[in-house]
Amino acid sequence: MIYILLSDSFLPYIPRWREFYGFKRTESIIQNLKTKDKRYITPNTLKISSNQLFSLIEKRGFILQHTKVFDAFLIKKAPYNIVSTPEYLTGLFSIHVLTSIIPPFSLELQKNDLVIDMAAAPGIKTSLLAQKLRNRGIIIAIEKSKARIPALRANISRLGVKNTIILFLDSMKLSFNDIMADHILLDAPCSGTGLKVEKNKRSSPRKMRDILRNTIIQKRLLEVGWNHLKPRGTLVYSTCSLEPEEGEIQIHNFLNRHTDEVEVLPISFDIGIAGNQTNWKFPLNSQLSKTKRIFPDSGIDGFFVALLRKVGQ
Amino acid sequence: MNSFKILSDDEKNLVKELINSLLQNNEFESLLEQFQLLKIEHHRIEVYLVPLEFIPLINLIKIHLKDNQIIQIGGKLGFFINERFFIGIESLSYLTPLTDRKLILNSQETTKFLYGESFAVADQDKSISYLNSPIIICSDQHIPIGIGILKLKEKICFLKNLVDVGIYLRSEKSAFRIGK
Repeated sequence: MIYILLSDSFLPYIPRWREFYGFKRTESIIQNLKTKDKRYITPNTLKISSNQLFSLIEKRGFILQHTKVFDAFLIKKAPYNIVSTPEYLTGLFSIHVLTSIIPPFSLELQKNDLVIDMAAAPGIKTSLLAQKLRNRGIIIAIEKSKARIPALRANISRLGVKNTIILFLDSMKLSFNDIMADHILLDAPCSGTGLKVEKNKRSSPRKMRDILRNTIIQKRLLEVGWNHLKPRGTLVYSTCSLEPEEGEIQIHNFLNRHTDEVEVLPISFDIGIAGNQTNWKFPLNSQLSKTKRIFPDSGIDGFFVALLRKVGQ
Repeated sequence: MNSFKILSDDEKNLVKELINSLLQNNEFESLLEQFQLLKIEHHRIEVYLVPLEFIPLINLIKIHLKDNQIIQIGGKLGFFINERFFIGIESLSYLTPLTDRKLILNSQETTKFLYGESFAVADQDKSISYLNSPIIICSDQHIPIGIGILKLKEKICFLKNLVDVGIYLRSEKSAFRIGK
């Protein structure tokens, strides 16, 4: 009964989710995918502290609640659209799902690092990288969609990001053989099955073959990113998909292709479960225990994230 | 063709002239010791303040890419339209610390300014010395929010909005588009 409340495009996935995550977890996924997403804001620490932001926004009649895992606030009551506030226009905060925070904040950045963001629009994760770098170092923000570049440019301008080079480029074709990054952020294109139904803006329903197509793109992006990573550098890989082929299995296969070259590092956020707990046809690489499988919840999309360090030569 | 290029001397002079008149000093020169001015042509010619440490990297990037693939470098200073330079709203975070000539609004005035209203300013004493030429406007949080001009009308100083940070929302698709 509950399934008819979901978009039709999700129906083929439900038996799969039961297989991977169990019956009870799948029921919870379905419940959460159809809930209305709540709005969260995070302070732009290039301009303001968390406490200052809280005080300013509450003075305008908004009621905020600090979240447990992230430095972010849930908007509990909004007298009007928060985008209309001077604080938003002056770039004191950004609005996004909480899972966006995990990939950029999983990287241990030093002030002069070179970071490549391989799929940068709309720029929220890029701006979080800039905050971690305190606007130092250099971020190469790559976006292949011409239509999405204005949003990327507007967001990083509004948020006061100054350490960025924006490139209009398909990251799959990246071949800077003389440019190696300290860190790579790859929030890869995916089927988006972890997104709340209300955010499902696709014109055509997702099909099973989309997963296969996406895994090919993700594999290529992972290899290109890895080739542009310095020894000892780190690559954070994430998708907003609930499909293991786009998460756990993608990383399992990557580890098999790069035996002895990769150390999987733990994700410091206390959220989700270890990636190796997902049921699959064969046992997953033990290093998957340090990745995170995150299920949809309030302010949180279904998500997978892995942090990989290049070891050896 | 929108490859980035160094500004010509004439273009540099136009940029300096306008910025010096906004700041009412020559402090912009000190900024140019840390940054290079580069231009990139989109639907208009955009001028960027590029940190000097970026230069070796962007010269390497340039080897690998087509001219139209480098979209933005560092912070935007402004843009040329028909050989006339306009200061970009993004530049205010660089320029505001270089001058004392700025008007700090209270909370209510900040909201009015961001809604594009003209209004009589609370601080009439300070405002009277800034009449008739563009001035940087800051919010009650001392964050630059735009450029305005003060005009005297029946012995009262009114602030008129010339440009403000609302452009990030109002003009996202036009002001930040790429290509011709």
